[in-house]
Amino acid sequence: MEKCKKNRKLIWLTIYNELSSEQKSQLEIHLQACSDCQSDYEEALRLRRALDEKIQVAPTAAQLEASRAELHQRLLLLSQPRLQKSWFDKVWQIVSLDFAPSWRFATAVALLTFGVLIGNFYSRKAATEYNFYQQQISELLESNISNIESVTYDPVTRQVAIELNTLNDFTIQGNIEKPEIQQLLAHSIVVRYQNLSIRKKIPESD
Amino acid sequence: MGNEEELLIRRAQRGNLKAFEDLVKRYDEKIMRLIFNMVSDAEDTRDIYQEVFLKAYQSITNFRFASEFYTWLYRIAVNTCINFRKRKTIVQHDSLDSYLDGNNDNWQILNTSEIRNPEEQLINKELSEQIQKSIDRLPARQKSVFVLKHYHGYKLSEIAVIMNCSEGTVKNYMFRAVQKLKISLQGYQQL
Repeated sequence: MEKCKKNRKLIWLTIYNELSSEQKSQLEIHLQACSDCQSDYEEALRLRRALDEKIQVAPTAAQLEASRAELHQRLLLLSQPRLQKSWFDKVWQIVSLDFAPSWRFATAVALLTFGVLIGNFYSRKAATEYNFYQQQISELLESNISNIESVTYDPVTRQVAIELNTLNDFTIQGNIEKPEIQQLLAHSIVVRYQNLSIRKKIPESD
Repeated sequence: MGNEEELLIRRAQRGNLKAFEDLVKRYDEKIMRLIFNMVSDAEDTRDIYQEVFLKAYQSITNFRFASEFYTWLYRIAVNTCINFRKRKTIVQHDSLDSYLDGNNDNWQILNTSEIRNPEEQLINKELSEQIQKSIDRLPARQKSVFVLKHYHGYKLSEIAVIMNCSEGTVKNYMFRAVQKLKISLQGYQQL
């Protein structure tokens, strides 16, 4: 019985011509002796013939050509070197919000946040600078200024350098349009030290 | 593998599109037939054909000449068909009528000489459709083995390479497949 079970597999292998000549002859001997296996063999042959009856279709030359042409186009696209985006394109993409709709809102929020942070940073910096000048000027005005050594004005940069004689030498420098500088100039030159000789220095040119 | 084919493969591996297309022309007719046998739908066959050869083009540098090129290509085709069946939940088959009336410009019947008269043609069509349904009910790997063996005539050893499994496993798949086909076609054929 075990031998017949094994032979059922061999029947299909012989039908598909997958047995060696030795295995084939052993099976043939068994089939002659075993009616059940002989019946299985005939049944398998009929099934094989029935399966062969199935209509087989194949692509026509036109179908193959059309598929090859479509494949050619796809392969061309696939083999194209990918274009590198320049940094300008990348920046422009961000600025123009050229993203998928789901990303546009997030990018707009990110840009707005970035702008607010930058603005906040510079306004704080300006305020700190202003406070520094204010503090310096008030300390200076309250100190004992004995003389103004020189005033240097650079028309290009519009910077004024005032060299003062206090208990310690002190120089303050800033833009002429800054109110603190103007206040100091007015205070020191017009009000308190108008009688003193103040040298006007000309900045050295390069 | 011939020298000419090896040369084409090496050129294709270096990105030569023409060499790859020459390889495609060698095997695409058989690959398309295999795909049709696996999915039984002309439109799906065309889509899978593109997918198979695009995958082959993208991975041809991985081909190490350890096997025949056609077995490597058939493996891609079989795996793509199996994955396609997993993705596609509703399977539709073309009716054989569209091929039998002779008006189909894209597909032709290969075994026409065996069909002799309209009555035989009708019986043959019904049997073919029944066989196709039975084959489609087979598990994917059993079906692949059966189609490669019965309708494409490959040796079991070649199928083992294509399916990336042992020859013993292929024999088991084959045996189980024919046993199931025998049962499902019992009432239909002259057994």
